[in-house]
This record gives sequence, C-alpha cells and structure tokens, in this order.
Amino acid sequence: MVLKHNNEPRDIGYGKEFAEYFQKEFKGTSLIHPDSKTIFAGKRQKDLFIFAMALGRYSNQKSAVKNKQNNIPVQALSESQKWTILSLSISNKGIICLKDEAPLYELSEQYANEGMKILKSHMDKWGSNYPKALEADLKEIFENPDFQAILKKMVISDNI
Amino acid sequence: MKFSISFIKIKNFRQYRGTHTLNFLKDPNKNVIIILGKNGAGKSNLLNAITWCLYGIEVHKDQETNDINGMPLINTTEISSLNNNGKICAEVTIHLDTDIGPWTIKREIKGEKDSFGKINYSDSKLTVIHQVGGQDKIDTDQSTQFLINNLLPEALKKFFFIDGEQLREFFKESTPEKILEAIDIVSQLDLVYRAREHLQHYERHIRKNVKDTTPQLKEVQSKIQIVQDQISILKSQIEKEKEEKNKNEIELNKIKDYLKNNSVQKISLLQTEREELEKDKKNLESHLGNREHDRNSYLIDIAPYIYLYKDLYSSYNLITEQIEKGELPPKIKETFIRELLEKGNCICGNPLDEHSKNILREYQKRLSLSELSEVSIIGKTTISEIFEDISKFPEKINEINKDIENIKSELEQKQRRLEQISKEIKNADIDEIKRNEERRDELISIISRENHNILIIENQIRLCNEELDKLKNREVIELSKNKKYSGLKKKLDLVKETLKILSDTEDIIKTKIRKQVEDNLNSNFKTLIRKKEAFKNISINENYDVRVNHVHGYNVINDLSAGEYMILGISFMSALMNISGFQAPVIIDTPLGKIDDEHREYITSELPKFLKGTQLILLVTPTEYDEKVKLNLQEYLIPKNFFEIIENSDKTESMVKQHGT
Repeated sequence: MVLKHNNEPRDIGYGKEFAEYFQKEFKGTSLIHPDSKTIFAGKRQKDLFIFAMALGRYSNQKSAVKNKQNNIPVQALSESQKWTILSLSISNKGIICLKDEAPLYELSEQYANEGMKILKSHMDKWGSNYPKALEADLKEIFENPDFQAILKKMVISDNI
Repeated sequence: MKFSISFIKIKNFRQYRGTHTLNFLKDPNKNVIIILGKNGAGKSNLLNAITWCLYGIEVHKDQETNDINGMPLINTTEISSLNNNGKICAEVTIHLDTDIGPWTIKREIKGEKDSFGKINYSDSKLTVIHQVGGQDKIDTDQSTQFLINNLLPEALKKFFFIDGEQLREFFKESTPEKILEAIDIVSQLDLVYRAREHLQHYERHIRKNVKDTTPQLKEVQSKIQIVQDQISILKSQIEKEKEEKNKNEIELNKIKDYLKNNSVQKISLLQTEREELEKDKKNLESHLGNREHDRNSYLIDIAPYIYLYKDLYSSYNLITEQIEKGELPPKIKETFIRELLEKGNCICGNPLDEHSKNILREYQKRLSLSELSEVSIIGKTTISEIFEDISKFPEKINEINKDIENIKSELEQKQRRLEQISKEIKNADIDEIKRNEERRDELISIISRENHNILIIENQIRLCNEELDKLKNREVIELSKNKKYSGLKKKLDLVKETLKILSDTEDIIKTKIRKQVEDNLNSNFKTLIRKKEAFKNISINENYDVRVNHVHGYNVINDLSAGEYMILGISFMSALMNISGFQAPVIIDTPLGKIDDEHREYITSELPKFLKGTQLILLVTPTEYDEKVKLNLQEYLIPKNFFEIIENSDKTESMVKQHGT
C-alpha cells in the first residue's frame, strides 16, 4: 500500500551556488560523482541533501535558498528520510502540520542551505580525514547521556 | 568490402633472401592456414611483410630493430654482396580476392651503394592494381594508400593482424585508456573530429577578423585566444607524457619477463612470488576501497538520524501522546459523519436521537486530526525503526573498522615481503640481474610520477575549459551590447551550437559502441571459454574499466590463466572486428604460447568454427603445434595450406616451404 502524504511537493531543491556539489555533471567538484574523493562518492543527491539538512538543523542554522534548483524528486526519498524532514516541524508545531507537508519541505531546504556551508567548511578543515572526524562526532553524540537516555526509552519501548 | 589473401610473394625482405611465394588455397569449410617456424626463424617478419606491404610499417618487431640503427629491411647478405654503385631492392607483393574482383598490392624499397660503399635507401613505393569497370587500373601516386585504407583502415589493422603475446597481455596489463582507444578506433569518428577541428579553427578565424572592437570585447577575445593556446599546449603535453609512460611500461614489462624467465632459479621464483603478491595486493587494495566505501556510505546514511535524534524523539512522543489521548481515531471520512447527521439516521436504519447526534458532532470536530491517523501511525513505526538502526551504530561501525584494519595489516605484510624480495634480487651475484632490478624500481617511480603528472595536466585542462566557457559567455554579453556585432554573434552562436551537437554525437556513438562491444565480448567469451559456468558476465563501465564477473560476484580480471586471458583478448578483438564492419583475414602470431594444454586444445577446436568464413592464418612454433593441436586443426586445413619456415645452417637466412608441393 502506498502511503499518501498530504500535499507533499513533487521535488525539493538547493541553491544554484551548490549545484556543482550536487550534480554529477560537474566532474571535478561534484561530491557524489563516483570518482569524487569525498565521503559522498557514489551517493545520490537526496542523501547529500538529507545529510546537509541534518547538519544545518543540528547547528540550528537555516537561511533562505537563492535561485532554487528543484532537482530531487520527493518520491526518491525513503520513508525514513521523509520522516527526518517532517520531524523538524512536528517537534515545533505538532502533528497538525502534517495536513500540509509542502511548507515542511521548504523548511528542510532552508536548513540544507546552511548545512551545505557547514559541510563545506568541515570538509575543508578535515580534508581526507573528514570520515574519521564525522565518525568521532557521531560517537560523541551517541555517548551523550541525554542521547543514551532517549535511546534506552525508544529501544525498550519498541521491544515492549 | 570482404577480402582474403590468395598469395604472398616476398623478395629480399629481411631474412628471406631471393624470392619466396606462399600460395593460399581457398575452401569455405577449411579456413585455416598454418605457417610453422621456430622462434627467431622469421614468423613475425612474415607478418611484418604483410603490414609493410599494406601500410609501409612493420608493427610486430622488437624494440631493438625498431631503432633507426637496427637491421635494414633489405636482406643483409644481398646488401653485403653489392659492389660499389650496385643496386638492390626488396619487395612484397600480396594478391587479394575481394568481392569486387582481384587486387594486387606491391611495395618495394630500393638500396644503392655509392662509390664510398655507403648504402642509400629510397622511399618505399606502393603500387595497387585493381579492377575499375572490368579493366585493370594501376595506381602508384600518393593517393594509392587511400585505396588500401578503404580495404582495411590502418588504425584497424591491429584487430586483424595480431601478436599472440600482446593479445595475452592486453587485459593483464590493460588500462581503461587502451580500451577507450580501441573503442575510439572502431567508432570511426574521424569525420566528427575533423569537423570539430575545422570549426575550432573557423571560430578563431572569425574572432581574429573582427574590426572596430570595444576595449572590453578586445580584452575578452584576447583572453579567449590565450586560454585556447594554453589548452593546445596542455593537450600536446599530455600526449607526450602518455607516450613516455607507454614506453616505460613496455620496458618495465620486459624487465619483469627477464626476471621471471631467468635461468637462475631463485630469481625466477622470487619474481613469480612477487607477481602473486602484487596480484594479492591489488585485490586487497580493491577490497579495502570497497570497505572504506561501505563505511563512508553507512556514515552518510546514519548521521542524519543521529544529528536529528531530538526532533525524531519529540515527534514520536507527540504522535504517541495523541494516540493515547484517543485523538487519533481510525481514519473515517468526514463526509460520512456529515451524511449521517444530515439524514438523521444511523447506518442500521434507526433514527438518531439527540444524544447520538451530539456525540457525532463532537467526533466531527476531531476528524481533522483523524485524517492524519494513518500517516502518523506510519511515522511512529518509521521513527521507531530509525532508533532501532541508531542503536546498532557502534556495533556496525566497529565491525567495518575492524575489517579495514585487518585488510590494512595484511597489506602491510605483503608490502614488507615485496620489499624483502626486492632486496634479495638486488643481492644476487649477477650484475645484469642487479641492474635490471634497480631499473625496475626506477621505472616504477617514473611511471607513478607520470601518472601524477597526467592527472595534474588533465585537471589544468578542465580548469582552462571552465575558464574558456566563462570567457565565451562574457564575449556573448559584450557582443550583445552593440547591434553591429549581431552578424558575428550569430556566427559564433552557430559554431557553439554545432560544437555542442558534435560533442553530443561523439558521446552517443561512443556509448552505443561501448555497449555493442560489451554485448559482443560477452557472447564471444561465452562461446570460446571452456569453464562456461564459472563466469557470470563481462562489463565495460562508462570509465572503460573492464570487469570479468565470477558467478559469485567477484571481479576476477587479475586472476585469469594465460589461456583465459588469450580467450578474453580474442573475444575482445573479434568484437571490435565485427563492429568495424570490415572483413579481412585474421593473422595471429604465436597464438598458443604459454597456454596450458587444456586451453590450447579448446582454442584450436573452437577458434576456426568461431571465425568460420574468415581466413585464419596462424603463425606457430613447433612446441605450439603439437599432436593434439595438429589433430584439431586437420578438419579446417587443406594440406597445401601448411607452410614451414626453414632456416639455413648458420641461421642467417630463411625460406618458406609449402607442404604437398
């Protein structure tokens, strides 16, 4: 059964300034090109978008998208990826916001816009060691007592 | 056009003193011709005689004889017996049966000894006799070479006149550039390339001829000129670098062969072990790359969930809360409740009392949320699954990291052993071995530097092209500012559009040909390979990397036997031959050398069938032509199509003997 989301947009996008990182055609700069030397080599545009959005949100930074290029079909997103986008708004506005999902996707684009800038600065800072730095960062969050408490509740409640 | 060779006449060509004729008989069911000769007897020079006659070049010769100071093309005994002011000539004549009548192709070179005893050679002269309107036509002028190229273009000759040794090595050492080059040749895009060159030239020409330019336009156009010149320089640099690299790779392979076939058994064993280790190292490096890719991919997938854990948790709680409060009842259409209220009757038919109506009105208010019940419940389950995935993060990432560490440590061990082997070889008592080993080290570092340089230049070309695009866009803006440039702008736009179309055409054709080569290669390989079940398929990706996929999914391109490499090579060449559309004889020099008995038997029983209808000339050594091979080929061989090269007692001259004559 296909789940019907309410007023889900057809595509999501990113600012023109980031097109060279998102699109495979830009062989030298594309982050997702299979020959790219970055951690994103071989991934898809949607994966880069969700990553950047999460990074923007985690850093609590968002900005308006200029010269938007709608290149990522929402249909291509997995249900889990869609819920990372939706959760940004549900946590603030309650589930009533699910009645119209279009503005929720717009918010995710704003976070991704800022997230891309943060990502670039991280990659410039760490160079080829970025995967290690990211892993360390994720492990630090994982070991945080707050995180552990939530994880305990979630995994136990799920098992119950 | 289809053709086969009906006879070859050789006169004073290399070790073939005097005149020697090879008459090939035709039989559609017996397509094989055998020329037997010991190593060094003159098999390769027979092949050289054919390529020299057709194209004026010898392709299958040693590095030494390629040298300008190497052996002369005219027989040396004949040259040394010449008196001062005496003349001598070498010639090769090939008679062809084509589907438009017989052709005779003759190439000759003359030598003359001057009064000081120095030999001066003339340029070679080509003569073609072919039929036009039922009459023989003799062509000798400069355009004669075009006639041969219509028969079989020079660029395609290597897919028909094949060195067995090189064919075996093709995929062993093959690089994507070689595959691309081969595909490029059969794509026959010459016309596209020439059109592009012409347009680029024309573009420069119209830019140069602009009069009354504004300072801004002048500046942009002069910058365009500079960047275009820079690109040309970089392109010629990269060609030079690749040529050098190719030469060094050939030398490196020779050193490897020298060490592997060394009469000192220890050295030969060490080199064999080194080759095995290098193969293992390559596989481990590829495995390491895959595992690092797995780790990266996993980090990218899991990171958003970890970064967003607060939002996800909060959303999960909000949904759960609504469900627990009963605010998310099962999904019921609001219209259905409205209808019940309007009709005033229950679904069972009884009228609704006021109390029931109030309950329904209350329920109707909450229905705005009920529309979301399905999506919310899916959300709750999805978030719960996300946390389940997050909880496995340390376990999963540690498992991948452990794998990576193990591979790295295995790689280090192999590397240490490789260094040890190199030291042991350098400690050998024989100077020649030491010298070769040192040169090997040197060449490896030179080739690695050349690869690095090629990458740098390629990157510079990319940057220049980007700069050029920007400048051309600026030029368009400048031209748009003044109406008097509208004609020029139109011309430049047309050139730009046409160049874009040509580039797209090139991409489309190359992709199509790559796909065709891949399909033909798979079908040929499946026909010729003995272990049909062991290989799943062969793929050529968009970067021209070839993978031979084992049924269990591994890429085994580095692990094939000599026989399997040979079959892969034949399958590839045959795919290219078919796609090229030319039908010419296939000549293979030493097709069975270094191949195990089983594959030797399989190749000789399958290849003639596979190339049915194509003249197949095999130049073989007595070791290759053993009893089993003889028996297999008998079915496809007219006895008179068996030739033997016989050397004189001091091995300076050779002659060809036709059996049954």
